[in-house]
Amino acid sequence: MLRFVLRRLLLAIPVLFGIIFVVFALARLIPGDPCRAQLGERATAAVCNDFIHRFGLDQPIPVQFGIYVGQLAHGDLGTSLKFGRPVTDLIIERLPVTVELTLVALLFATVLGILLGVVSASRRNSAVDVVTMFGANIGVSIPVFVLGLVLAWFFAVVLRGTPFALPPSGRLSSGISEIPLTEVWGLTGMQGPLRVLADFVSHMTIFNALLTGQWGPLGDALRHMILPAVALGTIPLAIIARMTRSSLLDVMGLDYIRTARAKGLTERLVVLRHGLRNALLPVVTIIGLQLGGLLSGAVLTETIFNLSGVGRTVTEAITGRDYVVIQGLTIVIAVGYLLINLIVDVSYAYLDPRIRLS
Amino acid sequence: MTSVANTAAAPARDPGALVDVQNLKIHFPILTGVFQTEAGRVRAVDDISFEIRKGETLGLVGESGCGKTTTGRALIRLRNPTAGKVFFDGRDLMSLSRGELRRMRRRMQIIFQDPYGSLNPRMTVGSIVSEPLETHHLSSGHRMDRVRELLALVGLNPNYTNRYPHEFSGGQRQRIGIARALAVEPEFIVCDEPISALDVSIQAQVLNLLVELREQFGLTYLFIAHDLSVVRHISDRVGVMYLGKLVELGPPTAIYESPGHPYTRALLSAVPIPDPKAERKRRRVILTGDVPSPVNPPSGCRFHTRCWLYERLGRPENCRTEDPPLRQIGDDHRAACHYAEDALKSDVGVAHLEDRVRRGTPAAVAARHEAAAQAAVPHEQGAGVAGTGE
Repeated sequence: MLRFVLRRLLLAIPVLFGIIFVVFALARLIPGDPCRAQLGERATAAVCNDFIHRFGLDQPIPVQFGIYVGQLAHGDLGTSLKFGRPVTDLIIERLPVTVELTLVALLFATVLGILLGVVSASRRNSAVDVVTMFGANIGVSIPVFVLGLVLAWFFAVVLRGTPFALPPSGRLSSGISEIPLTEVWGLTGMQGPLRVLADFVSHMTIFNALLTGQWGPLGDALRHMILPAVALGTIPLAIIARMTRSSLLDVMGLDYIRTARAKGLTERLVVLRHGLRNALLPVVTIIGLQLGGLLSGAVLTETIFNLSGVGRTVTEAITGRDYVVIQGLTIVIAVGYLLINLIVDVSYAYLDPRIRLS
Repeated sequence: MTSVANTAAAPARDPGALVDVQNLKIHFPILTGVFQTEAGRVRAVDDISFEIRKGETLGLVGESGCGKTTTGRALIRLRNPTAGKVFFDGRDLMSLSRGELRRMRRRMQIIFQDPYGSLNPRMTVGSIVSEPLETHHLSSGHRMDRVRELLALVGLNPNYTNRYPHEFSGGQRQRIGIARALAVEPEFIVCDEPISALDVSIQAQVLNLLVELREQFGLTYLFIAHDLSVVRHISDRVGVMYLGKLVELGPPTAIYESPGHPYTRALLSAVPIPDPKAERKRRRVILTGDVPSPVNPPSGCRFHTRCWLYERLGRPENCRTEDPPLRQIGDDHRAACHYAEDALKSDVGVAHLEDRVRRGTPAAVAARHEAAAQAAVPHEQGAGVAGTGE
């Protein structure tokens, strides 16, 4: 098991290197000039030369690449052209927002998706099944930005003033703020990787409130998360529900299900213990794949719901030709994706004892 | 329904019967189109009646697709019949509620044909075998001891409880299936082709195990198979099915030596006899054409489209129009043929050495029996059923 994980991590290195190369090359291929994008159309040539020299953009591109890789080896993702701040700081500040959004959306999609899938499969061709699968078809077909805008309009505009109204933007209502856990726990003086982790978690509004027991802000943070999470989670929800249904129907036709019935088990146990546990394997694969989709969906969702996460930052970086930020964030997302796939692979072994990790 | 209902076959209730099947019908609708309208129905089992006596092993043979397995499953209500009744120890299984049926499953079990598909790949052997104990609240407290005991009983290493099914061979898996079936101490076990998926060398072992367990626990078996010699080896009575009908039922000596249904004789013809002398002299009929579709079974006797006796008798009309009931043709011997007496007199399919002796005389019958017995011995060994030991 440990050897498997280590080998997979080693194999990830060339993949990562490829990603760095491609991202670096693609960022340079975006037409336009980072200086004018940052400093405005009317920046003088002298100012621009200075700007370009300051960020090392006057070097030949292969040399720039070499310098960049050298920095990366030291854990330095570079300094943003736009903000003048280290990209790592930006990541610690903005990635948590995206991670939180993705986790909540995925939780919503997985729990509800599996539930709906099981209900539809066990009541095959019933009204519940037909309605669920019809809904799933619609869910798959709605683009995130349409659903996001419709949800925002309905819950924030139509239902305004009712108890069902939900806030359509930001992480917290104005006037409400959270004390970061670093302060609550008195970690302000701490340095090093643990501090980075603490800062990272403290930027996840829901987790921060949960860990420090700030119940008022927690409720507010959760209410702010509902609309973006539903908008982002609907497509994966529909896919997971359909996948669970078809996979479970497949499994329920297998011989060992008949064996389970012959043993005299209740139908509930037959479905949950013998059916669902075996049907979950393809569902887990789909969930892993959906995570990639969630990250790209997060770009749109964050823009619609005004959340300053990674998605929005990348979009801004692309329009601003902020090469360093584009590269840094893409690499972080790629690493996350590789890790998620590793987790999915490891979970196979748990779900199916026939799969040996070696 | 165009065929005449087989009501005459409903037997007088046999007091010794553990399982009593009455006019069992299992039809599968063929649904087509958006609205799932019924386009026809597969008559997998069409009006059969028989009984299984306490402590006996009833063998059930027939070609693939004749309804053997479907019948076996309906007997323990793993499949709901379209019509008809199944009584288990006097209780109508169809009238049981879900809870009552689950409790009844303690008394009737099944061993499946496919030892690969019938075990949940995600569960350890220990949990597969102990799950029925848990469901029926048996041996609480020392369940794992009981599991080890069961594994030892079927000849597996009792320490294998933490292994998964994929770590075992086909024969071992079938033993796990047998241990699972025995866990609840049932009275009746449907053995649904329990050895046909196994290696020939393993078949004998598993078969002997089933025989031993039968003696040890006084089990009643319905033994479904398509291997005629295996069925003969293990059964007290044998039933022959053709296209959803039970065509003949009787003790093995009657079925194998003087079959009263032309189909049974045709089946026996298909079994080679590893004695060139007997084989050369034997009269065989080879069935031509496919089994007719159970969606549109032939009218009258379902076998008449392929029946050699029908041809020989000049195509009598009642074969085409009248469904022959399963009727008594000898001591505990029933067959569903209008001309069973003619079939009995024929020598088709049955092995014998003295072909020249005039038929019908006691000497001829005795000679035939002797010849059949002689022919049957090497025959059984050929199929790998004569016990080779564990």
